[in-house]
Amino acid sequence: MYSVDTIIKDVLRLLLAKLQERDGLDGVTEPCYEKLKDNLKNKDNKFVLKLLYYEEYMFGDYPICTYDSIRTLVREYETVNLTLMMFKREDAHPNTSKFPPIVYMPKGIKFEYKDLLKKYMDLFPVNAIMFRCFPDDSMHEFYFKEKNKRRKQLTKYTESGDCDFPLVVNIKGLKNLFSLKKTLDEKKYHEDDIDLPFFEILESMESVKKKQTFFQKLTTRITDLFLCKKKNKEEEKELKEKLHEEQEHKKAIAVIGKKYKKNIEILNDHNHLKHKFKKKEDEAEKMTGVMGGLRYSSNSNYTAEKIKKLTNEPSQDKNHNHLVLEDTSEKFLLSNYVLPFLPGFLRIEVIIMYGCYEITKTSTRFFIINNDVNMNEKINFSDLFVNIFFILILSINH
Amino acid sequence: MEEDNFISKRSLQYFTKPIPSTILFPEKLSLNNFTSTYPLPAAFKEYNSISLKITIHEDVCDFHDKDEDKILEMEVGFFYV
Repeated sequence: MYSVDTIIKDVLRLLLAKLQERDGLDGVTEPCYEKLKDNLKNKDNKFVLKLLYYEEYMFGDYPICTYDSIRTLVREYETVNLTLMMFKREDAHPNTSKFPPIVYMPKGIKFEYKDLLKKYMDLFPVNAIMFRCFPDDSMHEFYFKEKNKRRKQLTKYTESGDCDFPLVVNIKGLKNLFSLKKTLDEKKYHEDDIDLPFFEILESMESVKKKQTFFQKLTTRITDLFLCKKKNKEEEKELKEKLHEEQEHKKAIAVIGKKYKKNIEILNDHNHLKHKFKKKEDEAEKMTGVMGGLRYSSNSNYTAEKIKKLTNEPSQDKNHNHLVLEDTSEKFLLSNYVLPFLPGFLRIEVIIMYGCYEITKTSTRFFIINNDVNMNEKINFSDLFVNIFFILILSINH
Repeated sequence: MEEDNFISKRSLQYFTKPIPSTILFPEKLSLNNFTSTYPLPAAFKEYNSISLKITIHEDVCDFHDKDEDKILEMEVGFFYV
């Protein structure tokens, strides 16, 4: 298979061969040849392909046809222009922070809050958001980008044969959702700031544990008052112990970091790891199969075991998302994006009406809801035949 | 052109893995045949390879305004899974 990484290697080989031929000719050394050699030797560099005019960066062992943007280009008989770029290896790893933790709960389904918390909330360091129901039609806004008169639009169509009506769709509920996510991430968050009918906030496990009832608070205060003197000594001891523990923990992390630094780097490339360590293949598969070839960092809150539990568990409630997906695709999403939940999907359906009759109906493809949802989709109507005579009559009437 | 190839921190946001189109088009619809790339039109099956134009960024190798050297053309296998 022709993966993106092999294309990058081929390009670099071609370049090297090209420059090698020139080097030394007429007694002149090429400076770019040496620069390229240095760049290739430096292991901190990662080569990435970028599509022109698109925010699409490609690397890894994926065949080039898996990228949707490339397939659309090929489909429209346009040339595929790419640029070879260079990033630092530390930075070049798939980004997963784009996805907000969103859970969709349809109206009719009952669920137990505690079970949900037990199942998922351990993974969340921050509070999560939950859809109660999908926003009503009144929450959707749409308008034409350029406000033309009806006659203008029709005359355009008769002259060129194409009619382009750039349309903008805004969904109020989703806008609020992203603002909500931002406020949740900040430390100065207060519950009164948010007033949304469609969303609820799922508290993280830590905040639930920290919550105290009225009697618990009273008892703690009373004990503080009576055991004030004793506590001071105890507190000092505790503080010392804590400091000692922290120092030891830091030392241990430093030792582990040195030990496993090589493994963490290798985890970037799934195949590279397989070839190099054939004996340790089983172990490698355990790790990379779960992480899906993602870069594993010691700081991440998602440990391999936690995600493995999630991915291996068959989903009990399939209706927790409005889209019923197959098990394989669910697992793919969960493992590849390190998501504890299925992300929300979005699709726009367009219907052309003539009076009360429905003429045609099309829909865009599904989009996964990220922090930056920007859809630039063409909506074409396939089975639509319009009489020019009919349009002319319309234009005369108006 | 220059702005498009500018390496910035913002570009790191877009380092994502490709999503297979079976997920994006779960119903395998023939409904929207014009915009969708899944299921594939018959023309795609005939494509054994596609041609790519690859320009090389200045950071990788500086050619000092020799535009002919910057661009490489190559053919790559195009298999649909």
